[in-house]
Amino acid sequence: MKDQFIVKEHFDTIEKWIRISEEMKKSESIWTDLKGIFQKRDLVYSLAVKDFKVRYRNATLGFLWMLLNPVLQMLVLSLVFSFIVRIPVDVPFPIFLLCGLLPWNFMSMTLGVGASSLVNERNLVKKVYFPREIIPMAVTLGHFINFLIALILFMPVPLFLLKSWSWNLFLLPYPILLLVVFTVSITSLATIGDSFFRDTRFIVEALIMIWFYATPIFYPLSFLFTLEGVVPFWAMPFIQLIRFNPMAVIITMFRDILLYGQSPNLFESVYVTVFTLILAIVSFLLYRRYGPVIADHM
Amino acid sequence: MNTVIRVQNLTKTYSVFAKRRLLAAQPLLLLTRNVKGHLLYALQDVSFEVGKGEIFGIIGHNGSGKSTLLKIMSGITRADKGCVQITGRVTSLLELGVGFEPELTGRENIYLYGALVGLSKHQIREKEQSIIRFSGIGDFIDTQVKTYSSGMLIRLAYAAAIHTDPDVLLLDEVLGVGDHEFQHKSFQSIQKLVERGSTVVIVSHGLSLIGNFCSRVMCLNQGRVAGIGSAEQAVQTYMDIISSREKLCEIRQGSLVIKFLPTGFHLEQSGTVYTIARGLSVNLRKWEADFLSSEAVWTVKDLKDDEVTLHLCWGHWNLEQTWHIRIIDENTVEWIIRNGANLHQNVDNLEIEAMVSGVYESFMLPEEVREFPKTVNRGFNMEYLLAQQQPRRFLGVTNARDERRSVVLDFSRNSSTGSCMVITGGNLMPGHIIQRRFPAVPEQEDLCAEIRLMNQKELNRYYKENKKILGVQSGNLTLKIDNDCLQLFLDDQVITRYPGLHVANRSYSKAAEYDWEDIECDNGSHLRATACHVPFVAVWKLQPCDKGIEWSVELEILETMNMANFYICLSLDTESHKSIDFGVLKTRDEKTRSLIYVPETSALNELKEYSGRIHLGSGCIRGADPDE
Repeated sequence: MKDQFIVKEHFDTIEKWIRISEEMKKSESIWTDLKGIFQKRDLVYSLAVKDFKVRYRNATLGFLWMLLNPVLQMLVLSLVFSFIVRIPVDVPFPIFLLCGLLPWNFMSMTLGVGASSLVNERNLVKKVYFPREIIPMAVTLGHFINFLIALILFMPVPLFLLKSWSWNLFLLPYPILLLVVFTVSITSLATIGDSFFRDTRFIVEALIMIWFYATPIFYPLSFLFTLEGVVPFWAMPFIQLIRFNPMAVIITMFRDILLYGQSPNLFESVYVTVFTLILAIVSFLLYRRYGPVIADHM
Repeated sequence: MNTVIRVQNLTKTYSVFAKRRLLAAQPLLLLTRNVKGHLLYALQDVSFEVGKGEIFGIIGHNGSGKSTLLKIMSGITRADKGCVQITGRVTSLLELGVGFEPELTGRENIYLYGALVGLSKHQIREKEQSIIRFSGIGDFIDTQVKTYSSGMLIRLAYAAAIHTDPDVLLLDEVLGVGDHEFQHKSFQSIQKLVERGSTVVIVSHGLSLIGNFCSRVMCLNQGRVAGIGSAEQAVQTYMDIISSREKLCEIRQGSLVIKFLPTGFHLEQSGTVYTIARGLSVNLRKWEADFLSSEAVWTVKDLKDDEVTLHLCWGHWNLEQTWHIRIIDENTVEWIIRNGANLHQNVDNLEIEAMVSGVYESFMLPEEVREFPKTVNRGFNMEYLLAQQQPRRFLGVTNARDERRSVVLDFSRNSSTGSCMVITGGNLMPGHIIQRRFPAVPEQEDLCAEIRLMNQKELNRYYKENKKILGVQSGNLTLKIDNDCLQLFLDDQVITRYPGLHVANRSYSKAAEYDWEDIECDNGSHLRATACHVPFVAVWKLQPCDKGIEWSVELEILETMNMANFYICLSLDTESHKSIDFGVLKTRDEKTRSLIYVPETSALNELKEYSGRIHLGSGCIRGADPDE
């Protein structure tokens, strides 16, 4: 009788465990995760606006700094590269430069600030539940507003000065979308890395510095081919690699549309789209895996 | 029961590394999943269910897994095994002020917080006004939060959290913040939420809060469920856990067991524990600060089967005390407290406390049986509580809901005077504190308390023996407490009617509904009259004199009052007033047959706003000369 009871108890336990594991599986479908993020879209916006307000509220010039900074950067770089080191471009150098600088600044600043954002918001992360992806998303959104305002102000310049208007301009949202997805994904990856491994933020800083030179910002992509024979032979493969730099492709897309009125290279666009999507999926899956336990590592 | 929260077999472990390893190796370790530190079980196989509309409490000592449980329930972290199912929207409040950005204004922060817990802009806009009203921030709502005082921030944060209309609210040690008024408001808000059908889970160290609030309580011990049940059961489990961890020693005789914990000692008879929390303990007071025996360092000096000598030392303050406790018989314990050399110079007074179990509903004095004051749920009336200084020689506890005996504290062997106090129905936990205060008199060697456990019959006999009259007698006149008021007797015939001799105030319709207490003094009788609905206490000094009774009355005004409204009144029966001389009679009210004395000192009449102690009047009652 007693044995029977024990057996029954065992069955109950096993049954319970099966039920529990099923429930756990159910509650964690990708769909639920995505829905969770979508439901909290207000939060992305609120956090971005908060960042924005906090950053510029106490500054006298306020959000003018947002525009002043890239302009100053452009002036310095223009001085250096059109008078001291001459890099031949077929359009006025400041316009050429700014067209690359705006997307680059958006990406690099988001990544630089964003890498440590999750750890910096640890008070929030440890005490309130929300999908953790929200934090890098909010950082991206905050910088995206900056970028968009700057871009809208900049756009008329090449259109009028270079008369580069064409129907291709309507393709512009595509590189913008790619840039945003790429930035969110890479920032998310960095935040995950940073929360488990605090050296990530320094690695990211160093990476951004190198990346700046490996991205055709102050030079056109074609400039690289003129280097053959100038640089040591072993450096050439690395320079060739720059062509596969997704930021290089995205910036070239911006230039094609804005400065030359051309449609972007189809092969390159497909390449960067696939690259960005893979990156997005990887970061999303990593968040799914590690997001729920991130609070324990803060 | 409509289950809202179902937690099943929850287990959570943390890896604790003995030494922090090389940081660079960490990601590699993570990747290879080769992390093998010392495993710490934060939670182990925790299961429970909470029904709709319940207030569920969780208690446990530090590190028992309470907060981890709440974190898992709110989704902040994930359990290793087991599952949590919660129906409806969860709001967790693990810390007040989380998500508040100091640079933003209060209003902006409300919106930010709303978004954080998942409300839409539209929903927040609807609640904005009531949040601002609840927090009491007023016009400051549009200034930056960094300029707020911490109290304001906490109020705003709490208001925002409570207004998110959660189906399930998880609170971690955040209840009971702010001033009394706000606390009261927040307790009410929780009750309102529950009435609307929300479920609340409270984690707290405040046992009184748990005891007063929660319908069911779970006690956690080292990550495991130690017990789920009524608040009192769980609190008892909690105390048991603590006592099993820290027991100093115990003495016993027959069925009576006395356990010593580093807080005080506990009485247990036939498996029933009579005392809770600090049990029987001593407080030393100086400059309004308390030195509790629970904070002292205890050493066992001499231990026999039924007798123990303990040495207590508050090292930092150079205070010492020796307790000698002896079990006389199964129902009687003798407790002698000897004060060390420095103690009398450094301490104003000391209080001997007994914290008895919450199953007792009333306590007994030699004269009568009284209810324990229920303070927490009725709202706070500290004045009344503080005025409850019961100058009794001993106190009993009676009306236990189960078969337990009453606890009687008898201080009659001490020569010095002092007052007793009965406090709260749950200041600390659902129990009652009986407290006797002694002045620190240098020449007094030691204090002796006798603790008796008595059944109803013994208790009655004991009180009959110790019953005393509250009042004075002189010639054929007697003035004593009878039927809750000060009545005058002429040749053993009562000649006054309710409310007898009393102090009245025109602002309060009910004049007397007094709680009488006796302040011991050498000659005559000093009586304190406290009424719970009036903010003043009358102190009567009665003294027999030549052919009459001298009386004088002092008032302790607890709130600012207009002194012109006071008068003293003697309500007499039928025609008997002719045979009484009230002394300083001013008015004779024929309709109510009262002799009224209005203090007419001009100084008193000018005291429109007065609080503190004041002499109201004095006189002498005599039997009137029949010739006049």
